[in-house]
Amino acid sequence: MLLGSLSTATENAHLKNAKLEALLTSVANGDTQHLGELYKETSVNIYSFALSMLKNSHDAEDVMHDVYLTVLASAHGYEKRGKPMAWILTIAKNHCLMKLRQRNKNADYCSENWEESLALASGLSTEDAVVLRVCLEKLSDEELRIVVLHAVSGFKHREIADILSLPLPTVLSKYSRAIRKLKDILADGGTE
Amino acid sequence: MKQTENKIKNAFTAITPDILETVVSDSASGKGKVMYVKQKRRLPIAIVAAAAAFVMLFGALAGVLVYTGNNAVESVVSIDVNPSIEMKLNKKDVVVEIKALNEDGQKILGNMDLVGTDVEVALNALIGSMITNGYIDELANSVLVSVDNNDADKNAALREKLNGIIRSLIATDTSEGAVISLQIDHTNTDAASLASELNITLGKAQLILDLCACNTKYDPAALAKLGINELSLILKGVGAEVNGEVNGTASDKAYIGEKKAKAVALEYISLSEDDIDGIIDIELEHDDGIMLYEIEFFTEMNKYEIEVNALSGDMVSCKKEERFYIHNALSRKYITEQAVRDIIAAYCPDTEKWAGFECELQTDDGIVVYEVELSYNGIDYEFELNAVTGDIICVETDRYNRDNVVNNDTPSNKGLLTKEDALNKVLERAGLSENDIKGLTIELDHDDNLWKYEIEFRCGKYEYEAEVNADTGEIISYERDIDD
Repeated sequence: MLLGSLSTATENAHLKNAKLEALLTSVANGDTQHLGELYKETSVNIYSFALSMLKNSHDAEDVMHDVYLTVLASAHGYEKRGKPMAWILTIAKNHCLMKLRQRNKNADYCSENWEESLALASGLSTEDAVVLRVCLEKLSDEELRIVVLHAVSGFKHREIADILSLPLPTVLSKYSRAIRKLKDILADGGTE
Repeated sequence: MKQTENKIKNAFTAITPDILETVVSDSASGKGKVMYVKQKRRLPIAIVAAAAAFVMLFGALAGVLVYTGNNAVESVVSIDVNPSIEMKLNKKDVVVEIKALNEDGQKILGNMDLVGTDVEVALNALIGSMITNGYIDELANSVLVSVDNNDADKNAALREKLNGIIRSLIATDTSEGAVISLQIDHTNTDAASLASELNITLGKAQLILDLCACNTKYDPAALAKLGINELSLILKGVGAEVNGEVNGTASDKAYIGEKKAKAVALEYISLSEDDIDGIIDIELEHDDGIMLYEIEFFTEMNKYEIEVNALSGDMVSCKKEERFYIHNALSRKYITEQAVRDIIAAYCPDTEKWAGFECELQTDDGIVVYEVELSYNGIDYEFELNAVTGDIICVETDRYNRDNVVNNDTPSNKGLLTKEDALNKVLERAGLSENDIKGLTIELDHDDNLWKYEIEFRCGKYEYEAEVNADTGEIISYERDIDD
């Protein structure tokens, strides 16, 4: 019940991590009831990160599926270090890298047409669609990953440097350049 | 700025599909588990490829910062089957270094790059390779895993984890295999020197010493030639204590079995089961790297000790001893103990002063003898008598005690020289007096039908050794050496 009583408004990062760790422990112990809660807390982060790595919505969805199964199978091996989300994203990164490898082998892979697929996606506002298209089309691979990890998942720049194995100054400079670029493009209505 | 970030967050949240149901049903149906296992098995290749992909994507800068923190070695794990491999793990049990410790290990490791993989993945790959290369099979399926981590709790936890992983990998429908998991003990300096002397892992050295502690006949160098499956079988046989745990049962299917071994032995000596009084002992043993069955049994007249090669079923050795003591009792072929006492009494006449009399039948160079021990006037005597004729073959007394020189009785009826006279002969030759000498020992010995005194003493920097004929007083040998 401790899990449920944590108010979202007052949650700081520390509490959020503690909550995630408690959820991982309970799913590790076979408590599938908390799986829904774990999913709610992490799905956006996982999917967004996978999308930023793969730039393909189907592949990202596949990876998200695989990541959860891996997390469920290996949650018992998670050591509490206060970084549960980073642990999960490391699993996600490995799955993405495997996906990229399969793609490299598969010569007929063609990149996704975002204009088309975003238009087809349900539940997206026009503004959301514009923001996504700009992010996916205008940012470099690295810029996109850094932006997603910071803006969507709320990781600090130092943590992003760890997750992506990049030097901290690179993360800082790429982030500020990317967010300025996005701001300018979005101010122009997404057309640059 | 914050506004842009919020827009991004909202957009990504909106596009995230809801696949919770699929995840729940796939995890409940066990697909998750299958997926996990399958993935673990192929990870060694995947990880290498992923690492390569990673470098391609992010450039050469990648990795350096993260890796320095993760490279600290927390545990050292060595795996022995016959191939020996050592892995160094960081605190997350990820392999930071791996090397083969022998040629077989090199063959197993091949081109596999397991650095950076979880120890479970690495074990999967290593054990898998050992199975593929025939080092682990139905006939030999024991693994020795030794863990070096000074934290006893972590050591035990890691051992338990590795034990579980390995057992699940080596078990088959018909045979469970054995895992010996040891805690490396750095205070065991004997094991360390044995390991470096024989070029084996510290774990194997510890195991060998534990086995030797149970049976002093064992030779560490011979044991080192054996694989872990053989050592595991010997361990089971002698019931040695190890610094860790033994789980499961080693396969002995490679061996011909006790029944076949017994048949081979009986065939060799052309006897049938009916001719023997029953098997006293049959044991799987080893001799200089060869596994053999050691079979001991009696016939009416003899005791046999036969060794049969446990793998090939060939005869290795056959030792036959006359079952003299029983034979004696039945046929009275040998003189009685009373007769022995009578003979000894000629040398030590006052039988009231006899103490600690022990009389035992033995064989010596194929001759059956009585070995007699007794204390007489404070001197310990050992006689050896031919058990058939009663002839004295050899007499020895203990180190000569100076206080007994004067009181000592010598076999007077033989008309022998006294010890004192013998000593004086030697002192005269050396030009010394009894007060000059130290460390005196005098022994009366009977050798080659000759009674003689063996006399040793020191004087200054010289050591004297002499033999005096006890009948004639003649000095048989005389030596003076610088005492070092």
